Order: sequence, then structure tokens, then C-alpha cells
Amino acid sequence: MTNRLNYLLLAFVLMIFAAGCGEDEDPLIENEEEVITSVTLTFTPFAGATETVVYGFSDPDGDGGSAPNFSYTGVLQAGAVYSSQVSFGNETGTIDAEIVAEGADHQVFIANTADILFAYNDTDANGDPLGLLTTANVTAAGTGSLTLTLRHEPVKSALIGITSLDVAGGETDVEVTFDVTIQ
Amino acid sequence: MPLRLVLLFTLFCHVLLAKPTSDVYGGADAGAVKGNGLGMGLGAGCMDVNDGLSGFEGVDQLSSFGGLGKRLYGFEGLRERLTSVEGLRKRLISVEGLRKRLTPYCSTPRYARRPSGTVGGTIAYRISHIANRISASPALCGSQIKNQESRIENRESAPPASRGSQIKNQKSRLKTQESCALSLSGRLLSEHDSEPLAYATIYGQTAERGIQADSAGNFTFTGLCAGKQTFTFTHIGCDGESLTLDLQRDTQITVYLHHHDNYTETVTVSAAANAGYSQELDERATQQLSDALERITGVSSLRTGTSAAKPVYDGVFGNRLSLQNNGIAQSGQQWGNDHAPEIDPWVAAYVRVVEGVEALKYAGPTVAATVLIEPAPLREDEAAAGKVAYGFQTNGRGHNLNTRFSKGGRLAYRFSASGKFSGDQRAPGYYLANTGRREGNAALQLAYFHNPKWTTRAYYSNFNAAIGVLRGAHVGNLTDLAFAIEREQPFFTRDTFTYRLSSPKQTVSHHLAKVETEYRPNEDHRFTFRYGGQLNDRKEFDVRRGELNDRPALSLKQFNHLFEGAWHHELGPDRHLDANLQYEFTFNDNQPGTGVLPLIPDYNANRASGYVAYHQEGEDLQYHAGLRFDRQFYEAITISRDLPRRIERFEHVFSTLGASFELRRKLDQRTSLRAGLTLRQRAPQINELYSNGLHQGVSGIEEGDQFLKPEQSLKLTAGVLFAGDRLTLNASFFAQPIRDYIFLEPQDSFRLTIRGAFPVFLYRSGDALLYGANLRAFYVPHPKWELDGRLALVRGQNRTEDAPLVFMPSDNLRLSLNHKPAEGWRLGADALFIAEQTRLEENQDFLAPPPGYALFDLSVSRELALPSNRILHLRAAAQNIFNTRYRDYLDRQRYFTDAMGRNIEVRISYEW
Repeated sequence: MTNRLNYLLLAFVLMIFAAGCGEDEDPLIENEEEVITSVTLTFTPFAGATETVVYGFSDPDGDGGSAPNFSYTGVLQAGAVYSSQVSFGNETGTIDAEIVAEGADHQVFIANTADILFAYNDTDANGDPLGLLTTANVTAAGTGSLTLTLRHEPVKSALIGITSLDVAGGETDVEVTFDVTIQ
Repeated sequence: MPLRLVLLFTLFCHVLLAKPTSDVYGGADAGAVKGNGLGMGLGAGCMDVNDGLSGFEGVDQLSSFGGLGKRLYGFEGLRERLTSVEGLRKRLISVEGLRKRLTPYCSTPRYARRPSGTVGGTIAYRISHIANRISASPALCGSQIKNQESRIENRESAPPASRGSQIKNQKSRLKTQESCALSLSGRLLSEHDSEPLAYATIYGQTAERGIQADSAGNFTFTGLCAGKQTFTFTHIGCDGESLTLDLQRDTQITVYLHHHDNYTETVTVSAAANAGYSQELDERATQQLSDALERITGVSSLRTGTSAAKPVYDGVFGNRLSLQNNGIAQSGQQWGNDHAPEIDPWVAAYVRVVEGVEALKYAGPTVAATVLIEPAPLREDEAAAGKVAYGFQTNGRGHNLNTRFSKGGRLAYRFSASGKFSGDQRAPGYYLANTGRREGNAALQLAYFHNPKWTTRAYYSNFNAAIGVLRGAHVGNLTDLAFAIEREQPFFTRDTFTYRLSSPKQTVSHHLAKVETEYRPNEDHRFTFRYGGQLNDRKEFDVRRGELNDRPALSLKQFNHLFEGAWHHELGPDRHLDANLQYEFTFNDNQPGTGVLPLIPDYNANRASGYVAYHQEGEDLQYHAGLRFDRQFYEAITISRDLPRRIERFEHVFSTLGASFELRRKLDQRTSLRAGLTLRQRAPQINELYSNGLHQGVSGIEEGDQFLKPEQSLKLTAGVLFAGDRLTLNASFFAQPIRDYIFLEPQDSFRLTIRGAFPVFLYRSGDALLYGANLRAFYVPHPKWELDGRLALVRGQNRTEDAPLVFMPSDNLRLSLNHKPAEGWRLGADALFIAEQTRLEENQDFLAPPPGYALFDLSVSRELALPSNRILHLRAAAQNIFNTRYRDYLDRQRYFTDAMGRNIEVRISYEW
């Protein structure tokens, strides 16, 4: 029996050898397809202005790492009406098409403390607002902030306004706040 | 380096094992001959041992009686003779001969698991088989007691209740006059390792008096009246067991109690008269493991709504409270507060918390205590038994099916399986969307008794669960959280019930395989070699865009291997030494394809450790001293957060020490004091070193600190136990300063991400102090009534921050009342009172702790004895009977929803 025990012990040691050796491979670096890393809000003049205004946000390394960047091109004009368009992207390019395709599960909300009136200008497959395309009616000069939110799986209905985040539910995929200056 | 250690260890073992084992039957003390080994195993079919025995002087007495039945009446005499016969012991030293002579007479050869304490014991063991057959006096086999008990009752045909109590009374009075000189004698052994339980207490409920066993666990209860008698067997650190016998003659029994050295809590008192411990646990099989643990004083649960619960003991949990699944440190993703232990409560026969010296034995990160979850040990003399149970719960419309069957023998086995299927749970007023649950678990336990010295055990368990997480608790950022907090009902609340599970959800699969072989070259040594392997496969599904929804956002696989060599050395009747060496390695890998950078990096870890403890268990003074050393190595393989992404490897080595000294002093027959001092160092875990990223569940960015040092905890405990005939009081107090306590420190600045700004938490170390008290009272005013009260108070202060520690359980009181109105009936009422957690500052949480609450539960159960030893259990129970709306501070979903409302449970089980 002592013999059998010896075998057991031998097996014991061998197992440690077998399992303890072997170099560990590097982990795969995930391709973060889902992560949204950039947001642009483009105001194309419709009436009362000529300059296209672009607000940009970019955070290519995601939640950690270096701080995100903001970019501002042009200045909004009081009294002008713009056709505004939101675009989301990541390292693989724009993901707007994906959001349109899943329009029923997404909605963009825009709230601001400056004097801009936003209105939805597009709908999803069910006829509910989507918010990638909006019209922006800039009423008065001043400064403030503008918060753009993309919600995933909100409660969708024509009654939910462009600022009704509180009743919309769902979870936030994007929430970016831009500084707004209106001349 | 660790390998060298193992080789050294191997060598060490060789030396020990090669030692000649000539003193196998030596070392028997005369005292033990007396009653020792009148113990027995159950039901072995020794046909007739008379011929075999009659050759010995002193034993021939046995055959001089006419029939077997009569022979038993003469047992008392036999015992006296056995003890008195000089030289008997010497003659039997060559017991091999006797064994050979005896064995052929047994239809089924049986071996004592180990040679009983003495030669006399061996004889008696055989004799007792006869006794067994005739009187069917039961061998008490831990959880099996109830079976045996009812079988006996069947056979002995107790007077039917229908005859009316008057007749019964008369009859028993008659008996009383006839024979109040019966005795019950035997031996108390630890179910775990068959070690004698010294100074155990035996209380005769009918006789209303108690006696104590000697240092070898032998007892003799004399002057008993004939008729039905209930005895309660208790030992410090054991689950008590009670047994009803229909005494007609002198009886010998062996009682196995589930024992661990120096418990945190004397579980003894919990399982007194009305329900056996494991039966009670069986009834909780529909719940999560943590619910079963909550019945231990001082244990609360840290919950994530209905989906996960993990135990909190004396204010510590997760990385500071390890769990041992059948002796193997549960390996999984302990860092996640929403990760429940992957253990099926149906498999467990015993759950408990141990600390101090006993906890030093086990692996796993802890600052003092560890939770033990164990199936009942298999015994060779176990009869075939089984149980199948079905339960239905109204809340969640859950179906539960459990089955278990076991058989003793040279190759003993037990197979358990359970399945759960439930849908959306309901809070008072609304359904909790997506809180269904599926579970399928199986476990196989094997034991092979090679010979009296050598036993091999194997165990495999598989836990599989798919667990829905409340849909409305899934938030993207702080704005979402703020909106969710304001709402009465969570977002996504549906009006209708469904069994459907969708994201967010978790799927977990956990495998545990364990093999151990135990060798007892002689009475004084026991060696155990153990391997435990675990695979933990966890996937968490978030609500994601499109096809990604079907891909897990977190997918982890963890392999863990533990090798252990343990040595148990009896130094004397009440002294022993325990030692072990362990080597463990862990590979934790994030599985590719999630599309998300992992919060916890891949890592590999090795750990080598040694442990030694000395136990002195005298009658009036017991003390235990233990020492443990761990050397822990980590290699973390991280992915950089900035671009371009790089893979970086970091290595750490931590050496940690654990030491404990515990003392128990008996003041008189009823009162004892205990005190303990435990030093534990805990190496930082990988999440504390390397977390990096957004912890969705807590809406915060958590960052580890590679430079953390091990925590140093000193826990002082003191307690007093009063164990009267009807009243048991247990009060314990603790204070635990922890240096370099690792905690998440909220930072002043917020971090801006594409989902808005998030608070940042960094792992830091500072000084903390925990202190508190656990009070327990157990009162049996009448054999049919039991009252139980448990109060737990704990305080925690972060002295570096000068702020209270978060996730401290608030003061809580649990009361329960049990009543046994008639044979087979049991009624129970439970009340739980939770105070508001007031010790928290405003800036420490998103939402102030909820107000206190009270919950009430009721249960009724009926046990029906069916022909041929079958038992049918029926049980109905209601939890939260008033459908109280409440939120608990320790529930991480309290921001979103009320806790579960009323639940009515019906359960039927059939036992054979």
C-alpha cells in the first residue's frame, strides 16, 4: 500500500509540473465595436446664416486613458434656422447607419440652456422621432450649454419631446455637453 | 521555488509513511475500554457471532442466554464483565486474529472505518451489531437520524395515538413502575473524522436531566424509564442532534455529530428538539445559498436585487470573507458584489462560519473568518436512502425539483441534483422585469473504504445558472441613475408576468472536482492528500446594440488547482496537532470576443502555504493555537487604457502571516467563557491592484493601485456561553482594527466620458476599525416550543477618512418561534427587524439609506410516516406575509426598486 501511495504522490508532483509549466499567451485586445468614441453635431444653415457650425467630441481611447477633446468650428447666428445633424462614430467609422437601422431602439435628445429651439426632423420605422436629423431655430444671442443624449431602448412615442429625458427611460449611450455661443 | 517546496513536502511525507506502524493497536487507555466502542455502525448483518466470540473469556457469557432478545437484557452484565476481565486487553492486542474470526460470520463484511479506540472497542463493535439487529437501536448517522428514528418507531410499533392519551399514560406509568433502571450508553464521535467528542453533553428531555461524556466521548445514562425518550446530544462546536428512542431495554448507540474545532458560533443550540439541521437546510433549497447562511448569527447578505446575494459576516464580505465548498476554497470572481457564490444549497448539509484557528486551515482571502459549506460525509455503514422534493413558489412562479440518493458500502455514494425554473419576481404592486432564474446543478460524492486505515473520497459538482438582472437597474450614466432613483417603479416595468430571460443577465457555470485520500497508519496519525480543481465560467450580458446583445460584455474563465497535504496527529486523549501544506494556482482569462476592454485583467497566480495548529481540549480549559504562512505570486497581464493599446505584464509577490490563539474556559457545568486573538494578513486581490474602468453596476470609474500592501487585521473576540437545560445564551463581542485597509476612495474630480461625467474611485489603503456584538438566545420553555432570538450589531469606521465604512449591515434582530403541536407537525413563525443604517454620511452614497423595516414569515409542515420506512414531508410557508414594501441598505438595487413582496411556497418531499 505504501507503494500505491508513492504512485499517488508521484502523480501529485507530476500534475503540478504539467499544470505549472507552459507559457501564458498574451490576451487579445478587443475590437471595441460597440463603444462610441466620437460625436459631431453639424448645423447647416437653412435660413439667416451662411456659415456651417460643427461641434465635435472625441475620446478615441474610451472611458479611461487620456481626457476627451472638444472642437468647435463656426459660431451660431441669432435669428437663423439651421438644419442640424448628429453623427456618432468610433474607430471603425460612423455608426449612424446602425442607429437608423435600429431606430426603434434609439432616440437622440437635445437640451440647451441657450436660446435654441430644436425639433425632430426624422422618424424611425414606426413613425416615432429618432433625432439624428433636427431643425434648430436660434432665437437670441447669448451663451449656454447644450447636452446631446443618445438613449438606447427608451420608451418611444410621438409624444416624447426632444428634451423629455426624464420620462423616456432606457439607458444612456452618449451624453455630451457642448458650450454654446450665439452671436 | 514553490515546486521545490512541494518536492520537499513529498519527501517529508515519504519519511513519515515509511515509518513502521507497529503501534497500531497500542496506546489504548484502560478508561476507554469501559464503554468505548459499545458504539456501532448500523445494520450490518452479522448473522451470529456467538460462536466466534464464545471462545473468549468474559464474552462466553453472551451465549449462555437463550434467545438473542434475552441476551440483550443481559448486556449490562456483559459490559461489566468486559471491563472487569483482567488480561482481556492483553489477549486482544493480537486482535488481527479476532478480526479474522469475526469477519466470516458477517454476511456483509464490515470494517470499522478505523480501529476503534481500543481492542475492547473492536469487540464491542461486533457485538453491537447483534444488538442492533435485535433491538434496532439506531446508530445515529448525522443527518440520517430522522430516518432511523421513524424506522425504529415503525418496527417497535409505538402505541397508536388513536388509543387516546389516557391509555398511553397509564401504560407508561406502568412501565415506569416496572423499569426505571434502564441505561443508554454509547459514544459520541465527530461525523467528519470519527474522532471522539470529549465532554459532550447528553440531555434527556423526558428524564429532564443531563449527563456528560468523558474525555473519550463515552457516556452512560442510567436510571431511565422504559418508553419513548428524547435525547439531545450536543458538543461545543457541533450541531446538536436529537433522537427519540423507544427504550425497552438497555441500549447502546454511537452518535455522530457534525463537529468543527472552535466555532464562531455554537450551532449546537440551533438544531435542538424540533428539526434536524440538514432537514432545515433542505427546506431552504429553493432559496439562494446566502439565505441559508443568514440563519447564522452575525451573517447578513449583500444583495443585487433578486439576482445575487453574498454573505456578510461581522461587517466583511467578498475579498475579506472566503468560502469553502466542501473543503476547497471557492474560486470565482469574488471581486464582483453582484457575483453570488456558485454553490447549490441542496448539496450542502452543513453551512457555517468559522474563524480564528479553524479558519487558518483554509485557503482563500480572508481577514478572520471563512464560510464552510459541506455535504454530509459518506459512511460505510449507511443504509440506502433517498429523497426527492418538489416545490412551487408563487413569487416568480418558480418550480424547484431536488433529488438525492445515497448508499453506503465499501464504495459509498451520494448523488444530488436540483433544478430551478422561475420567472419575474414581484415587488408589492409590480413585477420586477427580467428577474427570472434557471438553475441546473448536480453533484456526485464517492467514498471508497479500502481498509480500516485507508479511505479515498471523490467529489464532483457542477453548478449552472442563468440569472436575469432587473431591466430597470441597468443604467448608462449618472443622469439615468438620478432619474431611476426618482421613480416610484423602475423603468421597463411590465404589467404581465413572463418566464423569459433577456439581457441584462448572467450565466455561470462552475465545476468542482475533488479527490482526497486519507490514510491512518495508526490511531495517532492521519494523513490526507487532496486535490481540488475548479473551473469557473462566467458570462455577463448587457443591453447592447444589435447583434452585440447576444454577445457577453464580460466573459471570464478561471481555472484553479489546489493541492494539499494534511496531517492530523493525536497527542493524547484531548490534544491534537493539525498541519497542512497547500499549493494552489489560478489562471484567470478574459475570453475574447466581448468587444469590451475588461475591467479585470487576465492574471495568473500561485500560492504556497503552510499551516500548523495545536488543540488542547480539556474538560474545563480548551485552547487552540495556530499559525499560517502564505506566499502569493501574481502576474497580471493588462491592456493599456491609452492608445495605441499595449499589453503589459506586472508581477507581485506577497508574503502573509496568520496567527490565532483561542481559549475557552468552563466556569461551571453551564457557563463557559471564550476569547480569541487572530492576526491575519490579506494580500491585495487582483481587482484592488488592477481594476481599471467603468464599473457599470456602481456607476463609477474604479482604478486599482499596483502599490498596495497586504492588509493587517487583528481580531479580538470574547464571548460567554450559558447552556442551561432550557435556556441557552450566547453573547460574543469583537473588535477588529485593520491596518492598510483597502477601500475605494471617491475622488473630488469627475471623469468625463462620452456618457457624461462619472465619479472616480481609487483603491487606497488606510486604517479601519470594526467592532460589534452578536447575541443569541435559545429558549425551550416546553419540549414542544422553541424560541430563538438573534441580534447582530456591527460598526465600522474608516479612521483615515474619518467616515463610516460603507456596506455595513445595520442592526438586525431575528426572532423565531417553533411549535410542535403533535407528532409529525411543526409550525414556525419568524420575524426579522432591520434598523435604518444611520451611520453613513450624505456624500458617501447616491441615496440615503432606506428606513428600517420588519418582515414576518410563517410555515407549517407535516411529516407522515408511510409503510416500509418511507416518509412524506409536506410544507407550506409564506415569506413577507404582509407584503411589506421595503428596501434594504445592503441591496444594491435599492436605488431602483422595492424588494420582493410576499411569497408562498409549497413543498412536498418523499424520503426513503
